[in-house]
Amino acid sequence: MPSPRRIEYPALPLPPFDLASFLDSAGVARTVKKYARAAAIFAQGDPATHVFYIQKGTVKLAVLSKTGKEAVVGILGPGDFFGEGCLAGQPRRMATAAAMSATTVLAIEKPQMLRVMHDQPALADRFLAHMLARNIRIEEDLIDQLFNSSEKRLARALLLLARYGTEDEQLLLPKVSQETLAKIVGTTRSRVNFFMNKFRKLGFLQYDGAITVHRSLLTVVLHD
Amino acid sequence: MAECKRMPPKRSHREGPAPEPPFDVEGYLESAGAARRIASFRSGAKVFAQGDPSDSVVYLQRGAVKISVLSKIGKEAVIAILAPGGFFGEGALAGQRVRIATATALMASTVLIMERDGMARLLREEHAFADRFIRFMLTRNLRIEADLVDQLFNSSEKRLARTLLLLARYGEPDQADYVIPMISQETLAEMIGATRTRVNFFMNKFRDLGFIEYNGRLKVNSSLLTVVLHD
Repeated sequence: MPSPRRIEYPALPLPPFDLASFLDSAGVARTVKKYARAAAIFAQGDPATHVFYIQKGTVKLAVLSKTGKEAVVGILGPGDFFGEGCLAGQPRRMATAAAMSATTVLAIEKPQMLRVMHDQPALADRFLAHMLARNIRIEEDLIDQLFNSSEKRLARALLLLARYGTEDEQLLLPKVSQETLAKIVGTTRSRVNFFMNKFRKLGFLQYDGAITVHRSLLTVVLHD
Repeated sequence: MAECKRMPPKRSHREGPAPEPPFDVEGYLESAGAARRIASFRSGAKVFAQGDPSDSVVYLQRGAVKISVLSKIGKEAVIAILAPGGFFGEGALAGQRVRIATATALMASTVLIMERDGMARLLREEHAFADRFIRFMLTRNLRIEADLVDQLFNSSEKRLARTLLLLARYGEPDQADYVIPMISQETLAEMIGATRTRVNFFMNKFRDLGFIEYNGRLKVNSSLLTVVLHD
């Protein structure tokens, strides 16, 4: 075991981690799975048997209400885990996970994941870092819902989707429909459309094929 | 290191943090030589405040703690109510420099305050301790996610009913009576994101319908479930 060192758990997104070769060297069975855009990785109600790790692409986690309303609880990228609820004893999936672009994931069976977390402190560290970052993010989403208007929530969601605050200089918005944005923010598609037009007119967004998010959009979030 | 045999709890997990079996956190801390201290708080006292430096993780031994956030314009939102066996302030491990929420004792409470680096070392070296912590965090994630979904889907009346059932730990096998710890209508309003007047209105309605009973303490009847289940 290495000598005690200062351990920092950074915020999402976490730096890439070559989990595949890590698991291989630890002799842990894992499967690589590829999904086309919009393909479901697992569905709400499915038995929760695996933990997933995103190698490439984007995954949307959404929950369906009894009346058929959909809410998006997370959009995850490379280096993120999902489906980890099974480690807390969740027997079935509480949400549906679907690929938002061509996506490659590693699937690790729950008992294997538990074993490797015991045997490999580096993996346990990495998983814990993910958990803490995700925890902070969901907490912030909840606070956002409790405090803010739908306009502010949309501005915040756009900035986060464009990975504002990470090293990427270009704030390019991944391909995401206004309908999905409405489900992230908890409002209607027509409201999203209204605010997106407003943001574009104010120069916060730029449309040319893809959507570029301007840092000035922050003023909407910060302004009371 | 001695191999620790752990059995997962048998009870099925639905929502909300499960009551964990007693766990010797202090024992782990002593064996690891981690810097720690025990502190007691009266009801209403702050364990830490939003904006304070974030350099420790706190373990609740006894009592109840409310985690709340204040907006710039002074609105308060309650994001969690923790029971004994819960950790809070864990954002310190994720590199948060200042507290983003305030932790307030809701009754006389005793906590263990663990210095950040010592806690990180312990998590890395003690598997049973790390297991316990990860399990708690996963459960807490599920709960916050469920709270978020509740906000996105449901009316304030339904949200109040759900919150009361969760506070009363409805559905847990060891509970004979679903009684809620003392909690103000104001705090309930801050938990569900509604006004105190709305909460008061629904509480009276629930009482008139026999879903809840007041006599000194607040008792929740299982019939309150109909409010949550009805679409």
